[in-house]
Amino acid sequence: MKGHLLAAGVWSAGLLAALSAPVPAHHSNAAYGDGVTEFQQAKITKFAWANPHSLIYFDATDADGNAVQVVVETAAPQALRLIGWTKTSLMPGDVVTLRAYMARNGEPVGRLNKIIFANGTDLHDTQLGGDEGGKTRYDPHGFRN
Amino acid sequence: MKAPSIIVSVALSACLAAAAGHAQDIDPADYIREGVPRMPNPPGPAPVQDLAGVWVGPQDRELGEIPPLTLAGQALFETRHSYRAAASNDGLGVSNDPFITCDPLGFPRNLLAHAVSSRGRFVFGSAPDRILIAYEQQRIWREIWMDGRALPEEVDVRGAPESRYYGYSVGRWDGDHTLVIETTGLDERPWLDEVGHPRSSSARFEERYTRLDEYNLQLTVTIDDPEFYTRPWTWMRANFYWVQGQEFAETICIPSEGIEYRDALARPSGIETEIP
Repeated sequence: MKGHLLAAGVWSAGLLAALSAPVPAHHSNAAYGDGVTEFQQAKITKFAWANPHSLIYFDATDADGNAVQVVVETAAPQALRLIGWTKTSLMPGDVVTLRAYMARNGEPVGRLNKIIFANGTDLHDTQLGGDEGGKTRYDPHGFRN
Repeated sequence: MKAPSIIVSVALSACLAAAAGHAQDIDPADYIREGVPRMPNPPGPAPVQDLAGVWVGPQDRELGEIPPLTLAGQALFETRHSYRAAASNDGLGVSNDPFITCDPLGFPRNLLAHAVSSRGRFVFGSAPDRILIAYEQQRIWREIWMDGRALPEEVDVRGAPESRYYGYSVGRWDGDHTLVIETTGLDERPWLDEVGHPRSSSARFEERYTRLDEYNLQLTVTIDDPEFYTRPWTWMRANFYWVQGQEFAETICIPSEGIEYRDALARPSGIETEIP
């Protein structure tokens, strides 16, 4: 299967800043940028179902065509369980589309937005899994705490 | 063969919301909060002097305004640097929150359900002369003596018991539906809250659990700690809800996992850089 690389910058920092909302968090997410980076064909190498935050390790290719190893954090298992995740939601070898807020300092680390599986289903981050733009919380049905 | 990759930096927009279906499609009418299913039937009456079962919360949490601290309390408070404050500004400073290294949360901070706001679970159980409360987070438990014994007058002095992370607790029923728990004798190392307020070993806590009906439980926690605070106050009011299925998970802060998180994520991202 031949791969192809597409790097599309659709960037609207002003809009994202305006849409950013306070996030209830174990820690703040100030270290991460406000825009979402999408990794298509991200190959999972490890899923650490762990505290204080679960970690997703995956291989991907950056905008310059270089292989990169990326780690993104998501919530603690106790929180993820409540929105449909399990310890085996991600397994080494799984290939998924992964959206994340990457570190402002350029390191290949970030905070998850969502995972999209080949069958179209998805799993969100608890804190920053929203679809409304910016760092919005996953809250599709208006639940608030 | 390398998997094809496409990296697209996008500003999220409404079109993304429709890009994929949700793994779970829930009807909000079936849930009292995200992830907390509503019980299928209207609540029945509260049973008499019985809280047994698994509950989830604290929901609708209200933390009372902290009263002025004493000089001793202020001095201790100023040594503490919360994780949230350390990570919430451009400086991304350093925190000495003991939970970073998985030290015990202690009472009453454990009531805040640190790892998952408002969705911590605990179970009321029993043993002879005692009510037991077991908490999902850290899989820790407290014992509430119901046999009329007195609490220790002091701790960590000769002839007195030692302080504990979760203190010493006694309980009594106030009417048919309210359990009153008094706690003292706390080890002073844990923080009172996420911010780092102190609580002394001589502080007295009162928890009042009132079962409103079959599925709803109200909690009020008051603190009297003259060593560190200038007046007593209501620390927290919150609600707990009956857990459908009564399942009880575990959430444990494991030092080796904490170290992995620090090295693989926190330090590279700049969240923190100097926590040992």
